[in-house]
This record gives sequence, C-alpha cells and structure tokens, in this order.
Amino acid sequence: MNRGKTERLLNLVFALMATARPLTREQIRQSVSGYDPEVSSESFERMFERDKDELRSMGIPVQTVTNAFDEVLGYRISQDNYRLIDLNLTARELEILSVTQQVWDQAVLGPAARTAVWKIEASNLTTSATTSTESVSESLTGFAQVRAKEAAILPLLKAAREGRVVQFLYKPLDREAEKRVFEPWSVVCRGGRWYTVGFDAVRSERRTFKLARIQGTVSLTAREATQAPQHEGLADISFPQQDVTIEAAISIGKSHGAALRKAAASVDHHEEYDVVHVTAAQSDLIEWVLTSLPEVRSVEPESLRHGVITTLSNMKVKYRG
Amino acid sequence: MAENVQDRLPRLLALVPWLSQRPGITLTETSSHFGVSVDQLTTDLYQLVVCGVPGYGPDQLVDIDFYDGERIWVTDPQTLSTPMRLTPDELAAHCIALRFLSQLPGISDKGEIGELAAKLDQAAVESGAVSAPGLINVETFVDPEIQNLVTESLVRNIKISFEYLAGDDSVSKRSVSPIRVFQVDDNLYLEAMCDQAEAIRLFRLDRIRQPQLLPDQAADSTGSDLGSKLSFMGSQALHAIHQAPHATIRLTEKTQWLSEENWIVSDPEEPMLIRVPFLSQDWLVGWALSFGGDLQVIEPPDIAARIMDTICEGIDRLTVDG
Repeated sequence: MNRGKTERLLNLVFALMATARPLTREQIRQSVSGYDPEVSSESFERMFERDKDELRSMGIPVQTVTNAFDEVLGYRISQDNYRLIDLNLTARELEILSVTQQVWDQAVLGPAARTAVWKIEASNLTTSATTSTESVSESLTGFAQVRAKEAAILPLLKAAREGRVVQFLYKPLDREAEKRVFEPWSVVCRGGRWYTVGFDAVRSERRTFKLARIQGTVSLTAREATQAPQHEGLADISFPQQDVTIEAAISIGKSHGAALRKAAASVDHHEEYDVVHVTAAQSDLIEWVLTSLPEVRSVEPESLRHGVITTLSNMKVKYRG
Repeated sequence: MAENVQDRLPRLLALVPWLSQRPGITLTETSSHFGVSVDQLTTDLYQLVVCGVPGYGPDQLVDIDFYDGERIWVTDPQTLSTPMRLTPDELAAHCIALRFLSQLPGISDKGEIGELAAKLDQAAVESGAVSAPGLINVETFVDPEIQNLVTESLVRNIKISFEYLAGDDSVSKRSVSPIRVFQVDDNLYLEAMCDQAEAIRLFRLDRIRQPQLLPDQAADSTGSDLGSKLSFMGSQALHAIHQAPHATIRLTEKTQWLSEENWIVSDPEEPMLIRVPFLSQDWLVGWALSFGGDLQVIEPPDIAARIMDTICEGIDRLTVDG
C-alpha cells in the first residue's frame, strides 16, 4: 500500500470538489498537498496524468474544463456530478442489497458490490425499522453465488459496456500464445468455465475465448468497437460438432450408471439389472460405459461393444507401461 | 497488507458520509461492517484527518473524533457529506446478482427483488451506463419440470422423493426435506435433510430424475447447524472436500485442458501432471476410466492397480457376453 499516494489522491479529490472555478495544473501543483512544487514539471505532469486517470477509473467524475478553442482551462469535480442521487429504497430493499452483495462474495465484482452498499447506506435516510419480522436472509429459500475469480472479467465487461476494443495474449492448448484484438460483447459461464463472446477484429469474425487461456492482463485500447454487439444468441457458444449419434442399449447394475442414465431416453427395469436406452455420439457412449465399467453387463450395438473393447485394450497396454 | 489504492480510496470516500449518518457509532461495529480490522479502520481514520482542502488549516481538514478508542463522531466531513454516485461496476454487480436471485426456483420476495432491480436499472441508465442484462450470462441446464417440483416442495414445505444420479456414478432413491436452493456459477443445488443419509446433503438439480412430491410435511431442520445461510462454502455438505486426498495423474495432449480446471491442482512447470482431489475411490476410478487412454493415474498406486483390474475384467466380461 502506498500511503502517500492515497493521501495525495484524497487531497486532490477534496481540492477539485471544493473549487467552483476549475483549477489549473499549476494551481494543483502549487497548492494540493502531496505534489511537490519543487520537482520538474515533466515529473509533475506524469504524476498528475496518472492520478487523474486513476480517479476516473474509480468512477470519480474529474471534469476537464475547456474553452471555446478546446484549450484546457483546468479541472474540477462538480458536486452535482459526484453526488449519489437518492434511490429512495425501502428498508426491505436495502436489506436485499446486503444479500445481493454476498452473491459475489470473494469473486471479481465483490469489492464493487460492497462499496455500492456502503454508499447507498450513507445516502438513504429511510432506514426505518424493518416492517417485516422475518429478515430477508431468513425468508430466502434460495441463494446464488458466482465464484468467478478471473481478473479478465472486469476489463472485458467495461469494454463491452463502453463499446471498446481490447487486446490480450491468448494461449491455445496446441499453439504458442498469440496476441488477439477483440471487441467483447459478453462474458458467459457454461459448465463451470468462463468465456467471452465477441468480434475478433483481425480475423473479422465472431469468436469465443476461454478466459482460463488468457495470459496476463486484458488491456483496453482507445479504439471504438466496429461491430454492434449481437444480443441475440450471445450465449450460443460454438463448440466442435458432435459425431453422428447411434442408438445404444446398455445393461447395467441397478444402482449404478448415473452418467448413462443422465442422458437416457428410457430405462427398462428387470429383476437384477436395468437396460438403459441412450442415443448419443459413439465417443460419449464409450466414455459413459467406461465410467460405469464394473457394473456394465452388456453393450449393444456390436459396433459400440467393439469400440469399448478396443479402447480398453489400448488402456491395458498403457497401464502396463 | 497489500491493499492497493483502487481498493482503499473507495472505502475512505465511502466511510466519511457513512459515519456522518451514524454519529457515535463504535469502532468495532464500523470495522466489522466494512470488513476490516479495528487497526485498519483506525489507520483509515488517521489518514482522513490529515486530508482536506488546500490551505490545510484546522478548518480545512476533515475532522473526525475517535480518540477515546470507542466511538466515532464526524465533526467536519469537508466536501464528503454525501456519498459518490454508483459506478457502472457497482450497478452491474447488483443488477446481475438480483437477476440470479430472481431466477432461482422457489425464491420468495420476487416482487421486491423486481422493484429493486428496476430502481437500479433506472440509476444505471441515468448515469449513462448500459444496463447490465446480456453482459454476463450464466447458463443453467435444468429440466423446468424438476425445477417446478423442487420449488413447490420448498414453498409448501413438504417432502420430495427422487432418483439421484450421483457424481460417483451411483444411483439411489431419496426422500428429502428441502431447505433451500443454491446456485453456484451455472449449477443448481438443492440442500435438504435426507431421510436415507439422516443428514443434510446437497443434490445437483440436473442429477435428479423422477421427482415426486410426497404428502409428508418436511422435517424441521432449524435445529441443525446449517452454517451461514448465504454462503455455499458454509454449507455442511461441502466441508469434506477441503480434507480430500489428491491423486497424481499424467495427462496426454487430448486431456491437457484439464490442467485449466479450477478444482484441479496444476503446476505450470509440469503441465502434464495434475493433482485431482477425490472423496470416493469409486468416483476416481470411474472418472479416470472415462477418459479412455488419454490420462493415467500414477498415485495412489492401489488405485492405479484397481483401474488395471477393472480394465481386464471389463474386457473379459464384454468379450464373453458377445
């Protein structure tokens, strides 16, 4: 933590809010505590640029005031722009917000969810006693939690919101990492994994990237996106097409074969075993049969049975080493 | 204490108006509300009182009285008498969370959640931020009929029975008293008191088959230690995974993607070796077999031996049967 920097930024916020007339850079350099009037103007400029960008990235509305000739007169923060407009929330709604905050908990949007609640609590004057005797968390019969920790999510969301282009290094499994220039539209969770869907500006086509394969940081460029986000079918991630499906019948012990049964079309119950009817790709069927292997009694059709035995024979060779 | 400015400054800016609204609040109460230690809060306050508007005379600094070590009074907030407007990320965090909550089966308070979401959406539009829906999608694949019946059992507080297709490939008949539904990322879980296990268990909704409402009133679970109602990790049923043993597994090119899974331990130095936590040997054997020859269990050796036996028996059985 940089104590001096925190104090300098705080003092800058106070100074810019307290002034009615925009402060010039020179005034800031001379008067705001934390800037050293003795340092070279280049290093002051660098420091001030970084500070200003940092405040803006935190959502603090630092205005650049210009004249009719587009010359910069100075900087200020308008109290009206800064202030949270009262959302007129009821006590119950405030309580719900403290619950939604926990949906993110330790995930990427957790800190944002928490500061939002602090702010609303500081503005809402209607914090009267709760009307209901039962607290919101007691009355909830369900709860959601998003565990997304991928740091890439925040810049991707920001870019999607603002219609901007991002850059990142992407490492496909079978190739070296490569640079991607991308217009993100959305972030999608499927099967416990996170993806981003959008437009690949270099390849000029719609793409899906797995966030776990992004190396380093996602950086926002100044460029604006060229394509309007497609909101229809955003979640429609393209995966490799499945093989041709076959109809299979597998006999299996009574309390086994969950993986097969999950995909089953129907199940015939017999005294000592069940026959599970599944229509799926051969590769999936082999996978499910192998999962339940000790309990599998027979496999039809012949082509599938042959496929299973071939796979098993190859495995036997491998495990023998 | 590697807190960066991006985390710290928003807290300091929020603290002043929050404290102004609550004159005389204690240090302990405030620190727990902001999720920091009392020491950290004291550091925050000491930092605030040396800041203010240029001139930095006594009347130009933030003035907060907290020196008796117990209670806090803001006597001069300078320009921070009101909180800052919500940022697009802050609005998005709550809009998305509200959407998740309102889509859960059996959720009460649906009306209030909807009204709150509308207020936040309005604020997002006013602040120029695009409204959140569509930016984050979490897809759940659960049969609506199963969702409906689970919802009904929760709402009517009655038992429900079903066939459960467990992750360890076992299939069992269950009758349970539902407690609540969890959504963790894209999976929906039913937490319930299970009659067969005589304990609280988690059931993934997409693994439930043939659900049936029972005429019996649900068992009262208020006496059992549920952990935090709002935390999935606080849920009893999940505690075991932390103590789970790990198997060492060698990957091939086809299974290298497994090293990207966040429940699997991998080492970038040795990308083809992973460590997989397992609660049941049966599960591990079935899971490892399901990849065909594309991965190999190395340790524990007795599991590797069991897999070899299962392979040989499987070949014999299926060859004879044909």
